[in-house]
Amino acid sequence: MSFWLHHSLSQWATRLIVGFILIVLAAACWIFSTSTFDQPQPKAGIVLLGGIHEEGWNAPQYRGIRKACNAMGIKLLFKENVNTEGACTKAVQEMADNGAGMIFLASYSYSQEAQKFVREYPHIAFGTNSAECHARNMTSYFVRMYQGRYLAGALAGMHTKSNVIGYVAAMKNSEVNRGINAFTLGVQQTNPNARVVVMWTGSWQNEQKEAEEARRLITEAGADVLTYHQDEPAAADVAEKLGIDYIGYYEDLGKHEWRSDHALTSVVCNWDRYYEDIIRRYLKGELNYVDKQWVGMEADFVELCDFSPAVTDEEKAKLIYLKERMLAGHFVFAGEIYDRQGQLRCRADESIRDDRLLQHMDWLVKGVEILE
Amino acid sequence: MNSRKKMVLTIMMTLLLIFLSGIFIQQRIVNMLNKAAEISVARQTEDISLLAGERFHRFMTPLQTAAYHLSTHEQEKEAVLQMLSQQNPQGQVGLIDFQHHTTGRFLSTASFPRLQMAFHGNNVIDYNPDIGILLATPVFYGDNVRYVLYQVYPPEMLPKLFALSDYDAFTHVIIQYRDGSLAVPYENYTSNDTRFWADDTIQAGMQEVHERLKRSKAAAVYTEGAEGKFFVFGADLPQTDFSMIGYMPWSAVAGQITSIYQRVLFLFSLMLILFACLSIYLLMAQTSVAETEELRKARAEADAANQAKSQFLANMSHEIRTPLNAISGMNEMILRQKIPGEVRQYASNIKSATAALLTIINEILDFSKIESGHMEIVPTDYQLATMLREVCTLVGLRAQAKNLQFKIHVDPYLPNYLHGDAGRLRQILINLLNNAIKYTPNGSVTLDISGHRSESTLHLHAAVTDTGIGIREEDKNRLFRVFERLDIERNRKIEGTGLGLAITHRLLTMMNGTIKVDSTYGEGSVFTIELPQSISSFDPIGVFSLDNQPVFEADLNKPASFIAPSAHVLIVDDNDMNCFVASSLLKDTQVQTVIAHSGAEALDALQKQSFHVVLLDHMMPGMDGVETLHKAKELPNISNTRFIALTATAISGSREKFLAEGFDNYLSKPMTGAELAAMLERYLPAELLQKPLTSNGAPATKPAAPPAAQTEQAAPAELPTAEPLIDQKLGLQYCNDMPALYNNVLALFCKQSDGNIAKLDDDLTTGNWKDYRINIHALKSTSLTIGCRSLNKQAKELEQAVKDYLADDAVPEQKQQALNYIQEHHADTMELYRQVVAEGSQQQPTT
Repeated sequence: MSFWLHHSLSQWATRLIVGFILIVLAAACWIFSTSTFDQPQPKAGIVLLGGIHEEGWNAPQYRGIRKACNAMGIKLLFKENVNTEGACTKAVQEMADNGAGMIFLASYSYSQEAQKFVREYPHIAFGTNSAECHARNMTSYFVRMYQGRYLAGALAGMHTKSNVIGYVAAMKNSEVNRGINAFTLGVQQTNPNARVVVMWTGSWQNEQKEAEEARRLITEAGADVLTYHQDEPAAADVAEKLGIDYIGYYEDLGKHEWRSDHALTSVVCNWDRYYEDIIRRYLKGELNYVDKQWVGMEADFVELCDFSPAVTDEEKAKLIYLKERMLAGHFVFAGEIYDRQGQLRCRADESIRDDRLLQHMDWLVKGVEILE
Repeated sequence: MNSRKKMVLTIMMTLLLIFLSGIFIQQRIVNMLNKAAEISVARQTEDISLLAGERFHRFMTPLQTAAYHLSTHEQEKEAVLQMLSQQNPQGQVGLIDFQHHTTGRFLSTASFPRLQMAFHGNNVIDYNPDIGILLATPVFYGDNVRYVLYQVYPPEMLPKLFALSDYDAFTHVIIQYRDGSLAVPYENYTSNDTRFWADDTIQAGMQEVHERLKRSKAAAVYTEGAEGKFFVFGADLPQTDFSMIGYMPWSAVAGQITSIYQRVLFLFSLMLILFACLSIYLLMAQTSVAETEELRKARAEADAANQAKSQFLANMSHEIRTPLNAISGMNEMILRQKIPGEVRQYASNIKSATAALLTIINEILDFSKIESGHMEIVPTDYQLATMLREVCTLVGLRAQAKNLQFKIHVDPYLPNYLHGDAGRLRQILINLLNNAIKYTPNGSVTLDISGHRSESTLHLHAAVTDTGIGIREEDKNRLFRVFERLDIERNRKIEGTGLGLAITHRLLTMMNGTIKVDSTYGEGSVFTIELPQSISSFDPIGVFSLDNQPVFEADLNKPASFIAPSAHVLIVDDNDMNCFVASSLLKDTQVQTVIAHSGAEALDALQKQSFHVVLLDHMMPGMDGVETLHKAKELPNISNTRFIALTATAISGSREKFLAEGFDNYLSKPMTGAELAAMLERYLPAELLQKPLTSNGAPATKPAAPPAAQTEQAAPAELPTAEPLIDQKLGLQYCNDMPALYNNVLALFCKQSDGNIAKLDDDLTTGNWKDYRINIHALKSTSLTIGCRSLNKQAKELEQAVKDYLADDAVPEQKQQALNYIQEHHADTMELYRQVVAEGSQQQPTT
């Protein structure tokens, strides 16, 4: 007891105890105020073949996923100009190390490489737009661009005077073939007499060749409406220069002030919606529920951009009608379809199943001409 | 009290803080528990959703099988449909072709927008609130889809087929379409359930669930509202546009957690209670601290008051001593006159009353000095024998006056030369003996002095035994208290302040001594003290006896033992009476006195004439004693003048103070004529002193060393030659009063003398100082044993000289001095030795 009787000692002890209690309280409050349930911010990654500012394919991809990520509060990791052997593997490794939960391989070119490494990252959900590659944790995610091609073809059919429509195409694969076929079916819907003349460049990006072929299609074949399936609008530039109508692809060409009314419209994909859908599926853990996902105009993923003044109201009305009919069940690839060899690919009471369209479209419809 | 308020405030604030943070932490814990529960419920929901999904796919399987069959057997449409209806009667089966023609159950494509997907080659599960759930699968022909086979389950069938109510007893799950419409309720879904789901809190919870579902597979939210505590949850069913939602009571999920939560709450309450206890304890401690503080203050005040009282007593006693000095001095003058017997009787009564009063005042003064902390112990070298003799003389007279027998026994082997505060020791012994005499009506008082030695310290024991009234057992511990007088009834007639034993006790404590009392009530008491005194020389005290000791103090009341008609003494005191007393007291000595009434007058006198001794009062108005001394010391031809301070202030340390200031000695007033005479005898030049013509005491009986001279000066008086060298009486004492023994010792002394002398001579010539010292030491002892003081003294001095010569730290001059002394005095001593031997051998053996 006498210990406490000392005045200052007692005060000191009181202060000590009060201080101790305050510290304990502060610590307790701190411990309980930091929540252990906050999950770390999810990260998504994208691997791009070209630079993020290269218009055509790459820039819209990047803008789309960037917009989607911002909207959903996700951190975006990206790697551009991944176009050498093994670079994709390295980029994926880097992103995995950085904690990416989802990686999108935004090029057909990665399918071979991806085949080797996706299984090494079972905890990462992969997405790709290449149909040639499958894995338990990788889903091919497609857009029914062919629906837009079909309507573009219908517009081209209505617009041609020479009944010759030029098509600069990259290479013979299901995607390009599907585009040519849908476009041709669209042309035939509005102009049964029109022909679609296709020239192959053999690569996604070869401006010189694309321009050269576009010129040949116009001058040699006499095409007065031009479209293309390339990563960049070189063909469109030629058409603009030569003063003939053209339809853009992937990129809304009409938004550039310098382009004339010949830029009738563009078939574009709303990449932000596309990526938003992918990321939502990733967050919900169902990105890899199926090995492929195919979305299109019904969800406004694909659309034709604002038409140029050269497109008449009747033409527009026709296009709206065709679009509604298509969404109502009158599919592009349904009804009687023959290929260039005259083989019946689809009976009048049938529609072609999706997986065939995706992976096995190794034929072109009747009415397509190839300019060598 | 202010600090107490502060304390209470602190405690209240702390309690409030604990309480608030308790609430905060409690809420956080609840939130965290619920969050954790939400996560686990969400996981559970995910499992349920898989289960629900599986259920849809289970119904899909027969359709797919049938579609596969149909793709190879197109013509068997009817049969396949029939088979499916039989297999699963609840599902209305049908087939639709690309042109929307239906076989079996009619189906409008508008009712089920997702049906188109089947024509793309995908399985479809769709819902229409009116029609029910549609399951559809494509029928392939090659790469193409030609038909879609489907089954429709009407709403009334749904709970039975798809409900998840069997998941567990607490969980209620319903399946919703993506537009929020209820697709499959659980079984026994009643209006109560509808109301439950319509509850605002539940609705808010569901909204949160749907919000979370945008980003995760499954979600659960804790809600607390009118309906109670629930977890509502939801999950999308994979591959369909359905989602399932449900709820489960909080207790089903967190029931176990509640116990944890309660424990945490308990812990927190415990902490709160603990803190409260601690606070109360601290508050009490604080209060007691405050009380102690007040007590401390009160004690300090009391101490201060006591100090003031002691100071007052000291001052008062000083004030009383001054007039008392006059009374006793005047009375002594009267007693010296030739006066009638009656008057002499009155005067001697005054004398004894004065002495009693002085004793009382001295006791009060001592006590007040002790109390005020002014009492100091001043150790000096002293001789035990001398001190005891003084004590015994004083006490013996008192005992005699009361017809008591006074006995003293002293251990002869005690060292005589001690170092300590002899004055205080004397006071203690006198106090104890006076006390014993006071309380002993008849019988005896005995003083036993003994001791034991440890190294150079003597633990002196003094026991005072009386045959007095004794002390009651219960009174013993009150014995040493201040102002306590025991057994008042019985001791009413006994005078005293009651301070004596208290002072004794305190003095002993100050000197590290102890006192104890053994007493039998009615038979007597023994007071025993023990006191450590350091030994300065191991020479034994020898046989101590009262009877044959020259009683120096007995002379005190007698006229002066000397006359010095040519001596000049200056008396300086502002008080006329005191001057008169002093000069009167000195009348017998016939010294020439001059009186000065102030320091200035004294200085004048000193300038006019030279004095042998100046008696200088300290307390004077204007120039005080010390100042006067300092001024006087500056005068020419003053070096032979001795200054003695006179003061009534008997405060401890005053002697030292006065000596330090330059006084030769000091006298405390009131002084007796004898004290004054002794002082003068000491300081007046020896050639001026003469024997009084009408002295009635033989000068020869004067002791070798008067008490006043013990410290500094050797005995001034030489032994007359006519005196026999050997004092047989003294020798007998050392032989326990056994004449036979004494004779033997004396004979032996004479017999060995020749050999000893030869040896000593030899040692001197050969310079064998060690042996010389041993032999001379032996001579010192034996000479005293036979009763020869003079030889003893000379031997002792020689021994000291040899010691000095042999001392390790002696400087060469000292050594030379010692050697000179030995050589000068050796022959004389040997001569004395021979004379003593001659006398001893002639002496008749004592009988």
